[in-house]
Amino acid sequence: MGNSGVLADSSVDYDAKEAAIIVAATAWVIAIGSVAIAALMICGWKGAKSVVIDWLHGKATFMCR
Amino acid sequence: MDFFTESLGLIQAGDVVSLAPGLQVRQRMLFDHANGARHIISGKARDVLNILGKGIEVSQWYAYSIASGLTDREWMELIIFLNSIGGVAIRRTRKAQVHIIVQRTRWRLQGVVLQSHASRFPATRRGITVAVSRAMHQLSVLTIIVSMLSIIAGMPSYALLSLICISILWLTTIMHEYMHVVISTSSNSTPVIIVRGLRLGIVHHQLPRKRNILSALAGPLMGIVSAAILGLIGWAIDAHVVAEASRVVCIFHAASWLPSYGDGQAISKEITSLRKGSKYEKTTSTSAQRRRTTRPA
Repeated sequence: MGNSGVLADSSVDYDAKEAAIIVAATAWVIAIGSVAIAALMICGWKGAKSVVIDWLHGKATFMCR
Repeated sequence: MDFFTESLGLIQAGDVVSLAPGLQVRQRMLFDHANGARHIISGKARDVLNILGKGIEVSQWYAYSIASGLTDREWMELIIFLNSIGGVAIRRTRKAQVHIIVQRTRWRLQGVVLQSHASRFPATRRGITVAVSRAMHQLSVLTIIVSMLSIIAGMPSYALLSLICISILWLTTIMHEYMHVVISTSSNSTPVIIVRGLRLGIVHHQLPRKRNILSALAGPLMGIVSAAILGLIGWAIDAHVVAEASRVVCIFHAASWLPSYGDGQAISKEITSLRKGSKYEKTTSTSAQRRRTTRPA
C-alpha cells in the first residue's frame, strides 16, 4: 500500500481503448495554423494567393497576393 | 495549504469534490462497478472516502482528512490516485473555472507538468456525445483561432477545410466510441467513458479475447465508414471540401490502429497473449504426450 492508503487493483487497465483521434486532429490543425502563420510572415497582411506543399521534399511554395 | 500547488493544478479551495458515479466504498474496498476493480484501502482512507459520497468542499474535506489521521502528503496522493481512475468529480463556479484556467495556463507556460482532471461519463448516447464534445473542446477553440488566422492570411479554403473537418471528426468520433460501447456492454456491466484532456477511453469489464479484438477493430472501422459515407455525399453534391475533409478524418480513425495507440495497443496485446497461450498449450501438450509415451505399460 503506497502513501495514498490505497492498493490499486492491478488486474484492471484504466488506459484501455484511449482514442488518439483527437490528438492526431490537434496536430493537423496546428500544422494548418503554422502554414497560415508562415503565409502571414512571408507575404505580410495581404496574405498568400496559394500555397503548394511538397511533402516528399519538405518544401513549401507561397504565392503572395 | 495551497491546494492548487499541492495537487499540481487539479483542485483549489472552494471546489466541491465527490466520488464519481460507479465507485463505492465498502469495508476495506473501493469498488469500481464499471470494470469490476476492487482497490484495497486502509482504514483511514476509507473514512476519508466515505465522506466524499454526496460532495464536500475541498477545505472541509482536507480538515476532516487531517483530523482522521492522514498526513498532507497521504491526502494529496489519495486525490491523485482517485484522479488516475477518473474517480473524483469536481464542481466549481464559472468564476473559479476561469481562475483555474488562467492559473494553469500560467504554470504551463513556465514548463510545469500539471495533472489533467479525468471526468467520468455514463456510456449512454447522451453521455458519449457530452464526453466527445468535452474532449474536443480545446480542439474546437484552436480550430476557430486557426480558421481566423487562415482567413487573415488569405486562405479561406483552409479555414473552411478545418471547420468541416472538425465537424465530421466530432460526428464520426461519437460513432467510433458508440461502437466500442455496444460491443463492450454486457448484461451485468455498464461501461463508463473517461475523458482525460484530449484523450477519451471506455472503461469496461474484462472481455473475452475475441470480443476485445472485435471491439478494437470495429470502433475505428465505424469511424472510417461513417466518414466515408459523409465524403461520398459531399462528392455526390459537388462539395469537394467535404470529401477532402472526410479523407483526412478517415486517416485519423485509422491511426487508432497504430500499436502505440489505444485500439492498436489492445489488438497487439491480445495477439501477443494469444501467441503466448498457444505456445504454452503446445508445451503442455508435448510434455503430456511425452509423459503418456514414457509411462510404463
